[in-house]
Amino acid sequence: MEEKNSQDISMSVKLGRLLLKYPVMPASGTFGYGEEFIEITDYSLFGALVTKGISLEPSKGNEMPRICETPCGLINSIGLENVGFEKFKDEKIDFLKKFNIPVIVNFFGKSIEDYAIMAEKLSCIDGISALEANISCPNVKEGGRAFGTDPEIVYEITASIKNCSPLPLIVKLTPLVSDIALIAEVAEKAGADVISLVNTFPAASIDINKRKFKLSRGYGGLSGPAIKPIAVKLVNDVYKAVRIPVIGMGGISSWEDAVEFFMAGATSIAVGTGAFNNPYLIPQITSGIRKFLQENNFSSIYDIIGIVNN
Amino acid sequence: MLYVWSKNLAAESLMKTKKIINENCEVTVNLKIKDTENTYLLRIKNNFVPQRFIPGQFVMLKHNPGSSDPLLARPFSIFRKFNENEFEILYRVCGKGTDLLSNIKKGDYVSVTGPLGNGFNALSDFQGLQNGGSTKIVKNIHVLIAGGIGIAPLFSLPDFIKNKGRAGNESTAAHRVNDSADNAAHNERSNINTEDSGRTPSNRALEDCDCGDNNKFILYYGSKTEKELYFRYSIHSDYDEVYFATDDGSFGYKGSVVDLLFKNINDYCNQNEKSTERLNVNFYACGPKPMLSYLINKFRAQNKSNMSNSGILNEYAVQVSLEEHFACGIGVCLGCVVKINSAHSNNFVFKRVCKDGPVFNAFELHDYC
Repeated sequence: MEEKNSQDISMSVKLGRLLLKYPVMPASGTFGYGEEFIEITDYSLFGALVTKGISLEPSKGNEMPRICETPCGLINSIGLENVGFEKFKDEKIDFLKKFNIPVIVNFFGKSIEDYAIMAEKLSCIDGISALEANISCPNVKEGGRAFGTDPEIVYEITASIKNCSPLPLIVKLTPLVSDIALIAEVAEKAGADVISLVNTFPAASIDINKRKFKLSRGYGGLSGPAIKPIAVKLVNDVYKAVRIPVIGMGGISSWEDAVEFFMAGATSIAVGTGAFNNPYLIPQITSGIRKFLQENNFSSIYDIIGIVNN
Repeated sequence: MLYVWSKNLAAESLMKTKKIINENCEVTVNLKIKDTENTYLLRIKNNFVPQRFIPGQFVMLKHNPGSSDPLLARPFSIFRKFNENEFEILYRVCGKGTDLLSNIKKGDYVSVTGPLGNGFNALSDFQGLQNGGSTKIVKNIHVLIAGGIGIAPLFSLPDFIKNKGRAGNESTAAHRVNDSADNAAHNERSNINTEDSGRTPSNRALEDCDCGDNNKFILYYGSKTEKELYFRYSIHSDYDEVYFATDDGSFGYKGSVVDLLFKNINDYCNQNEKSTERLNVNFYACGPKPMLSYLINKFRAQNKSNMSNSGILNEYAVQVSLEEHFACGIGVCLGCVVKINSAHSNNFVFKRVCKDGPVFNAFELHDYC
């Protein structure tokens, strides 16, 4: 049998109109605005650069403590701290543009109108390849329930963003819903180009001696290897429900973890908490997958996407 | 076409700046320090960190590279350079992570990311005091204040300051520091006066200081009890004066090291108009949160009471190294913020302890407690 050269294996993927050379990227909120990791690693094998979520106004974020460790997991309650749209436009985007790698800007709002305004404003900035709407944050007008838990609101947000912006739109789903396939279908119908999941899982940890929550806000979002099996299942649920591509994430710490997500139906994957311990994780996953494909006589990453359902 | 090419060039040059390493490194020593409570010295083989770090910087260490429980690396101050290819950290077992780290054997590998954060600013033209005529000879006084394991980031500072501008002559300093730690491990007793003042005479007077410049080093070192004053029998060799304090009075002054410092504070904060010397005093501190908080409040009060006089410490005079739980250690997760006075209002801004610190100017901290 003829062995394939690993460099002949196609790793590039299409997320709607967005072409990525490699199918691995950082997860929003674990990569800042790209200015920190560059001191340790280079971005040449990154499929995309993904920013911390931006809002119209800057946000200070929550009081400390904001993070705590749990078995195989990390709970965070940062409070969506970010520099705000104006400072992002003036001080952050120019750096991200320099790498000739697609820039995905994550954003969120306090109301449906906020999402539309943000999408319109971001579309006017040069150097952004795609938008990722975080719909896991609380809808202040509706009593603080996450936007992403109500199919009608998901439709409305997605449609209004698409109305205001020509950029490819990724809708990032919250995992804590009774039927994630339904939410994904609704987002697809409303015009989403890509679905990304999962965001962190609502979680809490208690200091039994102090008889208090460990985080200042009580609860936060759980990430890390603890959530990986749940994320793989949810990615597969969404893969089966929609035709648009899926970006899978949730506890990926190795190329083997990443392969599970591709086999579950992800067209691309993102890493977050895993890169805190291993800043070289993204390039290592890309080369690990390439080797795996070669050894198993696949010629393209597409050969394994959703393979468990074929 | 040319535009694209120059864009690529910019990206390439950005990618070549390596300031921080992440490697699995061999442990060469991991030993409990004699006559202490659960405090260990960990020596790690790596040639990047010891040659690049500035005192006050830290590394993220993971004793179980590639494993998920515990998930996160832990931050440790870089204690000192052992030689060109090895550096050390000093740690006290205080939780699950450090307990597991203490079981690491010689020859095992740990994951190291660093050096990280901003170290102490040791510029001699720092001008701790805002007064004095420019015709006078400037005498730099470096006052280090350590609480327990807080000695770790401060330990290398005297040598770092002395060696500044002495490029290529690092070996003597490294050897001398080695001696002092080994002595500590052997519990070698030196002539120590543990009378009530906590003052111990140094056998190395300023005049015969080998640094040949106008640097004077003073250490205030406090802890709960004697066993948490690491290197207490040998640390004098790096300083012109050393003052010890313990909460239980088992060694040196009984009480807070901060109170001990403020008994003598006028020696540092008041300039003698008649003297031919102008004092440039800088304070560097690391210790538990209550100690630092108390220290900062004392300095604030000192400045207030000296408003009308000349001895007001400027905003750079007191540097403190803060401790916090980190997830990433490089400034992306925003899990370790501290409140810093806003330049524009009475309000505050959050800054990252790992990336914007861990060393901050004490007077910029907003309600630190």
